[in-house]
Amino acid sequence: MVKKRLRNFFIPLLLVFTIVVYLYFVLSNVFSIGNKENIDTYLTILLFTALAILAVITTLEFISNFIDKTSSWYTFFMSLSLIGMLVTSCDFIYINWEYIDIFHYVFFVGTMLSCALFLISAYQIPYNKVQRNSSIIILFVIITFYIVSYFFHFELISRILTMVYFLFLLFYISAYVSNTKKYDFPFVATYTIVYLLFNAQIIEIISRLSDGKIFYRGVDSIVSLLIMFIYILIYLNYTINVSKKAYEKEEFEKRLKELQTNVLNHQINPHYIFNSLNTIKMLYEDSHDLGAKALDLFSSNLRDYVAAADSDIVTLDVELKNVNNYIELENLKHNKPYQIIYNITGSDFLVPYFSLQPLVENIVKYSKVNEKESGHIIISAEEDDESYILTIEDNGEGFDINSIKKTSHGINNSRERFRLLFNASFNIKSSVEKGTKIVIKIPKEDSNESHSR
Amino acid sequence: MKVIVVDDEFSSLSHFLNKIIGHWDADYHFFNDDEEKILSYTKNNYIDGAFLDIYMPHIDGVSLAKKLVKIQSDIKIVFITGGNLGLDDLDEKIKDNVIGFIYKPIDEIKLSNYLLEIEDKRKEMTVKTFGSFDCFMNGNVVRFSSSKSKELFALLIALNGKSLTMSQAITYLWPDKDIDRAKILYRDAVWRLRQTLNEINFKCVEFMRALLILDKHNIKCDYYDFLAGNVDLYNNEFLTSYDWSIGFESSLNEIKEKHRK
Repeated sequence: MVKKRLRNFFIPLLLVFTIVVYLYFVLSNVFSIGNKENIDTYLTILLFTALAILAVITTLEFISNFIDKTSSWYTFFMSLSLIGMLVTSCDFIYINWEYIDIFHYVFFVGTMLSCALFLISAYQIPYNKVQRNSSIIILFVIITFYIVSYFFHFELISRILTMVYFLFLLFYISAYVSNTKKYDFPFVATYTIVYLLFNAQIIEIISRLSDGKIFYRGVDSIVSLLIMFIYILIYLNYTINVSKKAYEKEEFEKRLKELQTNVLNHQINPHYIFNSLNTIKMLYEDSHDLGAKALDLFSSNLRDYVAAADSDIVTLDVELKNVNNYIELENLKHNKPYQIIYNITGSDFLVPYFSLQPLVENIVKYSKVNEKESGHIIISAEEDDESYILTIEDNGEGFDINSIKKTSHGINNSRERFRLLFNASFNIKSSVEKGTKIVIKIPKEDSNESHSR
Repeated sequence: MKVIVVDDEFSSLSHFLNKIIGHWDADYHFFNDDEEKILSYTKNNYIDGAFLDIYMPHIDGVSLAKKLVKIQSDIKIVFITGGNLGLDDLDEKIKDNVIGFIYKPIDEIKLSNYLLEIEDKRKEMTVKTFGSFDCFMNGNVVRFSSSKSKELFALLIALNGKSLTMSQAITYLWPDKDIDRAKILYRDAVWRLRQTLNEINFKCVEFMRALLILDKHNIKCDYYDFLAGNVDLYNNEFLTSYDWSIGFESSLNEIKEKHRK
């Protein structure tokens, strides 16, 4: 919820803040308010703090590119460019060298570029490859114009071109937001950088046009400082998010493995094995064919358990086949067989391995379908526009769902695996006269939704 | 054709091969896990197919397969395993040579299908309609998952390749059930039939939305032989276990009468 608030208030807050800053500088120049020397000192302190933090980040990013495969060079170049830009800014550090200005512009361009590339690649703006390539080309064209115009001393034109560039970026970002309806903290923060740089350009242009009378000379650097700190915030947020996601992923895999192991341990227990072997022996004494059939079913069963240990997902057809093997074997064991009906309209989707058999087992156990005259279970599979729908229903005597919630490991295990792997919804209804019905809805994957980092 | 079998417990496979041996003009050689003998035999003879156990005390089935492929690049390999191994895990070098896996306990139909594949012979299903309805693959009875799915297949055979819609099938097979219930039972029979045909690896039915079509190729059926002219096969008994066969019997009787004249 904190993120939401941040998102909703950050940009308006930023706008207000910018206006206040502008007003302050305009008014202070017009009415000579404020001690310019004190401001200088404060700014210098802030500058060096920012530089120190940035230096640390740059070093970390540089190292991590060699250690971590998922690291990208963009963050390194961005922090390096920011340092370079500030250090070469003539407002704070006076270095007696004629080419210092060129380097300042180079670092400035570097910041713009790495910011744009960071946005394009890391946040996948836009999400279409053709659009992505053409936008990169446009960016490079504008930057080239900018650099060229600088060397021809068309100062004002280069400023205006930079403005165009930033307008373009801002438009870009808005298009991204409206297309995907997705903006999070890093996005908002990066947007802020672009916005502030854009403002810095306007200020510079107005300042130049009025021969430096309207704005405090260090506005450019103040804005840059703000950018430093915001960048540091993005970086921290990004790092925390990445490690949080890695941790969550690890936990997810661990939990999934645990659930899978539980289900298999429950299924392949000695009780089940010896019961089955006994049935097989029994049947062989009556009829060779029946015995052979039971043996085939039992070995298919065991083989499926072995296969399940290696994979977590399987097609519905395979899962139904497993269920069928199991039920046919159970029917051979007991004198009260029940019918299972496969009402399959569409089976072209995936389910967790061994998720249906425990459900069927539990339904039989609790609603005593096998003790009823013409007891049956119907497994239906169909699809609509949004999801695949699996239904398991019986005409047994029903049971109280709340009472089994804590004890039925089978049902809970399947429910959780469906949720973890497919984000599927799971609904059980049971009434004494009508029997039990489990409905599982697996949402179809929307190919347009971009996946967050 | 020449077939070699390598298994440290070859009694398991020889039992089944001996049963089938009458149907094929083939030469079987059994080997324990003695690599020298196997490789030298392969070098001196053209081997059509090799049945290899994977887990053996002295040799690993997969590495043996690689060596055999090196000696004879077109050798066909079937792995025998009690465990579970998939085609995806196979090494590139032998991927093209492995035609399948046989799991223990051994399924006769699957085994005979592989022998057919090694011989480059087509698989054929034999269908008996005069009298009760039965299907055979390579001499082994095809076990259907339910009586209705078997009946559905019989109907497809009787229709002689004509397509079958869901509503038609319901009229024949579930004439006295209400339509919603009948649709569910139809889908159940269709699913079961599809599984059975997949199991025996004989996909002779095209399953489309609410439509089924039988592909008659590679089906040897007494009814089709009768239609082709061999009228003496029919003795007034056609798919006796199914009530709806009466509808077909009249046309069969007609054809027999025409031939008499």
